[in-house]
Amino acid sequence: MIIQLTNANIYDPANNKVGVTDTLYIKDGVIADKQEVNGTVDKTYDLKGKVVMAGAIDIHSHIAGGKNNLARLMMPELHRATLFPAENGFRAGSSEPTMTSFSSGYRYAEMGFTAAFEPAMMPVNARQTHLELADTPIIDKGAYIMIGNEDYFMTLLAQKADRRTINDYVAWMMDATKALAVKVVNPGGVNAFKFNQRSLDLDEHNQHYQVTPRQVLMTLSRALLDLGVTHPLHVHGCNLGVAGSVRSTLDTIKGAEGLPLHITHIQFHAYGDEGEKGFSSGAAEIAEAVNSNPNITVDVGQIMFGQTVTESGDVMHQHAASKHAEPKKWVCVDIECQGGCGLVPFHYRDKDYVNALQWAIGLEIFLLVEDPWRVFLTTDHPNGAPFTCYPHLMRLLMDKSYRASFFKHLHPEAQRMSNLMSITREYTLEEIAIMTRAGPARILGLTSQGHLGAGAQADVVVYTPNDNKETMFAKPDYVFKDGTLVAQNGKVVASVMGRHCIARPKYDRGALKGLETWYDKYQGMHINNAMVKPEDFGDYEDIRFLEAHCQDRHDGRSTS
Amino acid sequence: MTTAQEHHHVACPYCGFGCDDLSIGIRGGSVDVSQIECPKARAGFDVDDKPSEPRVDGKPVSYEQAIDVASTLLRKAQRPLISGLQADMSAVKRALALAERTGGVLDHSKGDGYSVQVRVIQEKGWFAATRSEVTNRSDVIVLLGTQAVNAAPRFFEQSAWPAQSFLPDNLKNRQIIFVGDEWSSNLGTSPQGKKVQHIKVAKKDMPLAVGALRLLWEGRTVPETTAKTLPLDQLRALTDTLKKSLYGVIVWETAAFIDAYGIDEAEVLVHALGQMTQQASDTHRIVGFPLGGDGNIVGAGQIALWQSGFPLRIAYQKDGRPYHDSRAYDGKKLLADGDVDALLWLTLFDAKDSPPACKKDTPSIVIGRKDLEMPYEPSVYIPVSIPGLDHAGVIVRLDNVVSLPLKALRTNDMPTACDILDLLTQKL
Ligand code: SF4
Ligand SMILES: [Zn+2]
Repeated sequence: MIIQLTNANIYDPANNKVGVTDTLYIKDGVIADKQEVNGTVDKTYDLKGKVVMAGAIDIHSHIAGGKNNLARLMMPELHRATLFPAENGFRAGSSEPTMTSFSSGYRYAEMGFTAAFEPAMMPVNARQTHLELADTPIIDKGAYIMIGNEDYFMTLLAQKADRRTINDYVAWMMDATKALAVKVVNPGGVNAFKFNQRSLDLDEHNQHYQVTPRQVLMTLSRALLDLGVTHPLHVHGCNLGVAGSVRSTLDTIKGAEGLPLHITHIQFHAYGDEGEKGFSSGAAEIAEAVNSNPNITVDVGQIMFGQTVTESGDVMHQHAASKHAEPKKWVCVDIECQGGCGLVPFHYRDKDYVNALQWAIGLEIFLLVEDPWRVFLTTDHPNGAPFTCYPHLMRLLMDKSYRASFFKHLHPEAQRMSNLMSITREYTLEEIAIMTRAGPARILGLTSQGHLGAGAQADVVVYTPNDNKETMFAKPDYVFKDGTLVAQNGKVVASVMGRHCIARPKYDRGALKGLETWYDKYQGMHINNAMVKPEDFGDYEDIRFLEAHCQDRHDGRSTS
Repeated sequence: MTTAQEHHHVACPYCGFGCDDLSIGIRGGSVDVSQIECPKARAGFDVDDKPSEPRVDGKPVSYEQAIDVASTLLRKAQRPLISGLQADMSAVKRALALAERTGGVLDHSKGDGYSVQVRVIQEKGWFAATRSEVTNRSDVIVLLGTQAVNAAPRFFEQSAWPAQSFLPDNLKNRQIIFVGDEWSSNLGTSPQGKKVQHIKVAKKDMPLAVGALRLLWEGRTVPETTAKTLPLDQLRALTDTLKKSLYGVIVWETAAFIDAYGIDEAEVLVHALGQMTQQASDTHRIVGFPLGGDGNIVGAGQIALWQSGFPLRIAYQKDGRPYHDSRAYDGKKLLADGDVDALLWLTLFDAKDSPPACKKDTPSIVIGRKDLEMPYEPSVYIPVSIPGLDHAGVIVRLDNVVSLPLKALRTNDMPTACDILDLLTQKL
């Protein structure tokens, strides 16, 4: 099957092709060079006047897993308001903010996103998470394994375990749970909360294990580097949502000492405690720190005004936030000596001082971080807002008068405390293509995604340029997934199955005796049963894995 | 196959507690359950692999014929009930798709207890913990109106008095306190000779006791009329114990509350316990651990949630839109009242999970284990193989997050529930 896209105005920054008009060839689901295409062309699309990009990639979106289901369970009122029927072979369900699995796949595809990654998979929840991802159609997907609070890991640190032992453990975790990357949430703090500590700053000690968040961060970051995993440690820092959190975030960046870190939903960790209300923007300092530390990447976690439900593995801070739950209900769970989760519904309002400033802080960070390769478009779906608001967010970034039209409705005190209106930057199409395609693919080690060079998956999106960038990005003319036309004019037209992206650093199984004993004695589960094996899934769904790029392990461990 | 095989670390689907440490021998097609100590597990695994025949109106037929008749019955139905749902994730997924397609109602045979918990979470929520947190962290376990073993036969051996914990002091100092009527004393002693403490509260007074515990926690006075009927000093001592605990766990069994007090009162009780965990969490680490989750109801609920956005008890509209109402879409009641016009009962685990009574003219299709107890002859009966014995599959444990892989321990020529549901769906 050969498809030809002629007169395409291509934005493919990964291949240094920006605003270039050319013909794209798709052969059997893959982007092909002109010379390779020698058969007859089955279908031609004349794309004169259209903008063409690779499929977009969402680096951080809570689309699967147990806490997502708890959020759905807790909030039937949201789902009742967003029911949609089964149509043309597409499954029924309900939508924002805590989308159903089918809805996630369809809505992403309709916006030109062809991959999204669940960033907070609990080890014990991995099998279930993959089952849910298997019910998430069209897009490629994957998950980051959430570690750094397990009693086993804390014990390793407390006992000053050998570096290679820790590396083996991290690599095993990734393999056992079929993860693409490693995330840490409130490093060591979620564990400390189980010993009734209510906060844990970067250099404070977990009372039981005498381990600090900084130790957890450095150990895991170095482990991933040793193991050759492409995506750096994905960090949800110490003081989520806390006024003054900007200090520990800056310390984290400084303290990384050149080790690569990805700091996620940094907006929620960029709060100062200045001003009358003791809550201020730390965006400028954060952006400056990011700009001057090339080892740091961030995603923003923009909030939007409206009702949502927040879900996080940071049970310590979710518990603290439960005082602000709206409606007044919440669930927290301590999970299997590995971590936890907290679900708290939230209503963000532009007339609320704190919420208004949160909105401004997110945009300030986007606009003040200079390098689009190191800042990514997220709302921490559904925590800041559902991912369906991305086209709106893109317009806010690309259109300063549009920004101003919202800014003037903010709580007046928040307006005074924000310098957003003094920032004139408008994102270009090229920058959007970097931050939503080339950048995420590069930092996740996904070599066949995020670009339109020969050999890439034919995940291609075609837009009609429009001054109203929200309209442009909300309803692409065409979206191809692996060469199949899956959406047209912002509506799904076909459903295909994407891949589960994983990374498989090597480890020495023989070196995991300690872990095996731990499982036997304390976890109430055998180590083999903790490993996700698709052959155990019975007749669920065929799962295709795609391995991201890993370098050789270089800590001197010989592995098989 | 005549060779004998030993399987170790076998996961068990016969209650929600979700053990995975069974050793099971297979000789030929039969199962040697002699190494299994748990009575529920032993009963569940003890079934041979001889083929069984489908039936239509009590007469043996081929699988094709049975599926033909079943599909005709389903096609004719305006609003079928698809329930039982005691199945592994793959079969549940198919049953759910069938309900969406036929405009059916989806429920589970253990839906009563589940729906009470769903309403409590939808109303206020709670602070809970999973099994290994209880096993390792707790230094106080309060059993409220449940002796645990009916719901989870191995609760004491596995979680209350495990051989070890990585927090050895918490285990060593662990106090287990039963608040309730009669205590079976043979459960009352740990391997180290420690006894379960018993605060005797008559069954009828349990709701009062829960109310009193909440007042005592807040430091408020218990009304005299209530106080008179309760062992108030002991309850006060219990509150002190909880206030001194490092990690307290409140165990209850929602289904037992329903049996004892009816569904409304049970909901009030679970609501109060949820509130208690939330309130206590302001200053203390006290969590809830509700027992239940039999027949993979948690897993079935999980699929329902990610596919429809709602927990179980869903009425699909003709266009597939899911309407959820945990009270209105009680399958058993709809069936008894004639508000559904066909039954598809899918049950693969508990052989006693019999289809509920139907009105005389309501057709019933049963897809189940071959040893399923049948209180009446259904219109169509299709025996299938068993997940975790005859084929692989996944279930989810009572505590919501932990899934277990069920292994194929032997080969069996009988079709799986998935095979049958696929053929049935094709014929619709
Ligand atoms: S307690 Fe439950 S899960 Fe454990 S062996 Fe017995 S029936 Fe199976
Ligand atoms: Zn997140």
